[in-house]
Amino acid sequence: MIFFLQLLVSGLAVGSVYGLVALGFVLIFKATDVFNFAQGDLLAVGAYLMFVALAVFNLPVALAIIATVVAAGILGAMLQRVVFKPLQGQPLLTVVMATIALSLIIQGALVIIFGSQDLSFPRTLPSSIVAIGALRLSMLDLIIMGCSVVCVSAFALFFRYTSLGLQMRATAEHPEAAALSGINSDRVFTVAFSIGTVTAALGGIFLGSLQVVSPTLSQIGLLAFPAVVVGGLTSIPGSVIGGLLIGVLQQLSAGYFDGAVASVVVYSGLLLVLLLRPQGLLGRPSVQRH
Amino acid sequence: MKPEILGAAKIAGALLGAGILAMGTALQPAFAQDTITYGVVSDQSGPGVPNQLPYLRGIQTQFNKVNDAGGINGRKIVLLAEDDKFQVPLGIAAYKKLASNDDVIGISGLTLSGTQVAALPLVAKDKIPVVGPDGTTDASLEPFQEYMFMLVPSYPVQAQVILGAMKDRVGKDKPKVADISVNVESGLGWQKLISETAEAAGTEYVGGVLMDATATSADAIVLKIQQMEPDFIAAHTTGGQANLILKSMEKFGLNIPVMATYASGTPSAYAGLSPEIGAQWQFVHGITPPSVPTDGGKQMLADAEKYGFGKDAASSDFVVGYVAGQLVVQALTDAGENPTRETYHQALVALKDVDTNGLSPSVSFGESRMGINLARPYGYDYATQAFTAVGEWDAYRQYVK
Repeated sequence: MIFFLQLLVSGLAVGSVYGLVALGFVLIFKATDVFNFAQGDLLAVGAYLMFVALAVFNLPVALAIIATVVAAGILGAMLQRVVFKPLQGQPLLTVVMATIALSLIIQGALVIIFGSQDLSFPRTLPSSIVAIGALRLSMLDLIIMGCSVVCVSAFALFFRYTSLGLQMRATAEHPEAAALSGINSDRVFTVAFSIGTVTAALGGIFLGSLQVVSPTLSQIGLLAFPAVVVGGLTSIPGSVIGGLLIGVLQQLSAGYFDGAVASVVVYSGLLLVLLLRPQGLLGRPSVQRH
Repeated sequence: MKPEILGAAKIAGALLGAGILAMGTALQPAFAQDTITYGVVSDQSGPGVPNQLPYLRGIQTQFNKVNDAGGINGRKIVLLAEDDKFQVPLGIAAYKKLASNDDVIGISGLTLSGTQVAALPLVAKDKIPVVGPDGTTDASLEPFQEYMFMLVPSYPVQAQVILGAMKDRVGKDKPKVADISVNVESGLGWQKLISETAEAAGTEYVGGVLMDATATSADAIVLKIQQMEPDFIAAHTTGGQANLILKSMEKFGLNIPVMATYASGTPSAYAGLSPEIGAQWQFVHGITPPSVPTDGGKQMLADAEKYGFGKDAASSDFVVGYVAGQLVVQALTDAGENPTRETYHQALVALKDVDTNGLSPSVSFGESRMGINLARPYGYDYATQAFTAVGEWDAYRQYVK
């Protein structure tokens, strides 16, 4: 039983990171209808920004996180202005291809700027071991899980109760109607990309703390894709629940079977959800009138 | 078309045009008579980048150095580096592109184990020498491959050193060994190798676990290993995975020694850990990592800085590429004024006791095609943030059969 509980807790910790990255996907998709394939790369960018803040500017950890979050927010806004704004109104495939191109550019740029070697944060978030009965957790696991809960709650409230959140939802539902009612869609899109990039960067900070900073973080970030699909493309809580499910499935299958089985289990689960509930666990089915 | 899109299209067109022009400029000398064309297939944009890009940079450093000195018999080396993006089909396509180019005299790389295995029959058919992949597969050793020239010690040699050295260190009559292996071709091979050779090495195999290449936690793996109660672990992982395993070992209080293959030999494996838990992980290698002071290492780091590869030169894979480049240059020099694939192949076979100035034991390909047939362990010193060699090379010859 302890073995199961330990795997469950480890899965929740890892799944929280996937959930954060998935949250960024959903925020951008919900507000702009853009499925951003570069989200995993923005996660890697977040890890490298944190590395620069710690190793180059020698900032304390807390300040380095704030600096990374601010820089990621600015980067997101710039990406929207430079890359995605000119593509507004273009066919979906064009926009998807642009996000794939952006992904490849970021991967190449990171190797050019930082080299190909794995890097590590010179100072990290607290990672002391906490024992809860027979269960063992690291402080880092707890921080990651706490941060996910805070983020998902904050964004859920933001979309439900703030003017900007409501404007973002309205723009996503019907961009033309939103524009006619006076909503500044440019502002909405810019904020969406900023927030989406910030959540990816937070995922990068956590993953970089869990292991090392390397270009391969982009690949790990892609594990948020199944989380998004499982949770539902338009559901904020769904993205985090999807991330948690993927993390737990991964850990349980690695613990009870093998690391090789984890991918099979995760993607079988993804397929099952797509077959039984294409809109995801918490997504709403889209209805089209012909 | 919207003006913004038109603008973007114009920029993309200009960049594409500039790229084609640049490519044309780079490729042009390959077909000239006064050059020697050489190919590399490696991962320049996928998850293998941390290992395989430094390897490529090491080769490039040697080629730049020889070109600056006037080339080989007056002919400069032109390097055609193909990116396999860590995908076997792309690696094979890259290999075919190079092998079908009659000007390409030899190839290095093919490090991705799946690509290496798939390319073996093609290499034999094309009779093109492949020098110093930054990794070996069982299939490249058995049956004998005439045109494959391995540089790093084979996995069987690494396994012999790991099992033998750890048995002596643990000090038990028959210590129990478990393995942790990355879930790729070479990892599956490593698991099989340890399970099959543990008994002969005087140890008892108690089981193993596979670790996904993109794993973000090793908790499940370490919990499983804990249940097996081994005396030591024989691992085959990357540096990032080693870091995850050590963090999980620390979390669960698993305090047993690990000795791993060379792939985990990166400083990042030891990052963010207490020195006590970091001291549990050693790796074996057939070369001397750059942070261990040697005359050859000093020269290599100076060369790397000169050619703009200083960032990559901290990697042991850079050393492998650098030594591979040295051997290629030596064999091309020995292959005569107008080297062909066959004369180059003969020159490689004839290379004997090449001195790498402390970067490795002396290298001979000979009939076995195994350039370095020895490995020794390395640990990490947190005070100096550098690797330290655990003993001299000769101390580990006793374990290699």
